[in-house]
Amino acid sequence: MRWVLSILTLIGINACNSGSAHLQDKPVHIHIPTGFKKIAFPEDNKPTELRIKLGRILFYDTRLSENNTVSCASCHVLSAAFTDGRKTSEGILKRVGKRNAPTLANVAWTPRFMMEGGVPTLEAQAIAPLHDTMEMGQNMMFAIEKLNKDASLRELSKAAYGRDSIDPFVITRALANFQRTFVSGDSRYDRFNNGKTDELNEQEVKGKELFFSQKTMCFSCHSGVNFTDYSFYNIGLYEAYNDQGRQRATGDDSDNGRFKTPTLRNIELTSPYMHDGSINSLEEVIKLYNEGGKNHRNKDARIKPLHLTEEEEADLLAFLKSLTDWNFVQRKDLLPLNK
Amino acid sequence: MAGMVITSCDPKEPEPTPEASNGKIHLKIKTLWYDEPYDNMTIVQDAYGNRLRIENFVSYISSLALKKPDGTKLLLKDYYLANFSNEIDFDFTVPKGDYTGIDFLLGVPADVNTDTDPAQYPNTHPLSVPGSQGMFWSWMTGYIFTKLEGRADTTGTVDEPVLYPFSYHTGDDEYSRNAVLDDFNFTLGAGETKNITLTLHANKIFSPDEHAGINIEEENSTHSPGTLALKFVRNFSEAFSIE
Repeated sequence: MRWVLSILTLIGINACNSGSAHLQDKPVHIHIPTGFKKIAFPEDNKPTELRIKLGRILFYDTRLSENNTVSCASCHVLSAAFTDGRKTSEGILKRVGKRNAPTLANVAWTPRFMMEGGVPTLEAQAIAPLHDTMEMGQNMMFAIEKLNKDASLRELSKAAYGRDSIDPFVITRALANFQRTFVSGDSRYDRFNNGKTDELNEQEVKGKELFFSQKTMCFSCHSGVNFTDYSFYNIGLYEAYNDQGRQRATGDDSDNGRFKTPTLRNIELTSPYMHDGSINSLEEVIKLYNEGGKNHRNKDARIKPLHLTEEEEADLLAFLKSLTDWNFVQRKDLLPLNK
Repeated sequence: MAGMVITSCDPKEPEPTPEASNGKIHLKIKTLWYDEPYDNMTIVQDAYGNRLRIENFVSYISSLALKKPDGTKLLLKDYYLANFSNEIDFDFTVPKGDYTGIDFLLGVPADVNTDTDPAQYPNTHPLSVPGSQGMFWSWMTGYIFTKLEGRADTTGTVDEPVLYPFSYHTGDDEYSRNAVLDDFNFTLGAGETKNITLTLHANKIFSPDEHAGINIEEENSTHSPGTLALKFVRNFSEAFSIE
């Protein structure tokens, strides 16, 4: 067994360094903020300099779309914490999708992707927007044809993954590798938690206490360092949902209108809100929860009138804004290579 | 060489050469709309009076196998992406002997569908990203087992153009179905070729013999689990016959 592992290790090292006489790859250490768990990197996609670089190029590459107009970054803009500010995203030929673009901050810790949770890995998730006719609208084989005409990209691909040409494995791995560097854990709230008690003012502290109180129970779904339990809930946004949500994946009526809990990190920058972008401001989101949502057979029992005062609503809002990581959204290494 | 001679002379353990022990199966799958060959350019009429043109009809066929008298199966093909717009032909070399039927899965088995990663397959594989030709959900992991798409006129007026789209996409582990055709027996001799024709009666998907049908006017789209998808996969799996 030890021998087999040694061989596999050698193969792994070889894959990181083979293929190009010019490009040398080396492992990269991703900084993990205090309180966050280690990232569970897939065995076939450990972070390296060239893999991240290749993913960075592809993330901003419009050749991934059918008519070369849309890249991942079209809907995931760094300055908006990798959202796009639109109610629902716009794909090729200005086709408007059904869902609000989710933030990609801290996707390295996300266990299941898409709002109904149907995709298990970041690597597999990359296939979805490429093929979706409302997004990039292109079978990946056509993207591969285009990308393989680019000699420098082929060389980078070879050096990063040891494969002779750019293929679905390379595209999905490189995109995921780059996205796992989208680590956001340096908000004022984080610094406050790490001992810098002057980072939050009195109102923000009151909002924090409300957030984690039995009165609001916000923390029961927006839990953990990423402020999400990654589960699926119906929050009473509508009495009848146009989008089935989790039900689409399970076929179970009790999942109708349930969507994955979103992270609240950088929430100030990711408007509009909800799965369909139907709420423009955080103030309105807080009001929805304070009023207890609309009636729906699947509405979570915790969604009920909270009887918050206007002052308490303002406190909660102030706390939510303390979750913004301004350093994250200004990271130059997450911008296109030539910027 | 000596070993081969000794073995071949042992009457208790004959090991005939493959050429002497094998026959051939020529398997054809053709699609009919009632008694007429299906053509994706032709407008046909269903039992509800809807006029329709099926423009795309593809499905994964997995675990295609011949059944043997002892209940075991002889695997002919593991995965195949079938386009029912065209006649499909397979040639298989199989051991001589008695066979009692044929069966296959419409869809792909759960072990390659659940939490799958199509980027792991070589590009020529039918389950790879290019090989699957778009038969992969964009909102969840897993393959689209069957796509049947087209346009219809549900007004009952002969001169109306067929513009009303219908689209049935099925997938998810619970929506694969076995098509079992075991009402025929044959003996394949060494060196013989057996021609088998499977017929897909596409009309029976909409108006099956024994079950509730699918009226395009009322049930024109499914892209996710649910009642219509269940009805579709049942009707589809029972729409095959053998000649």
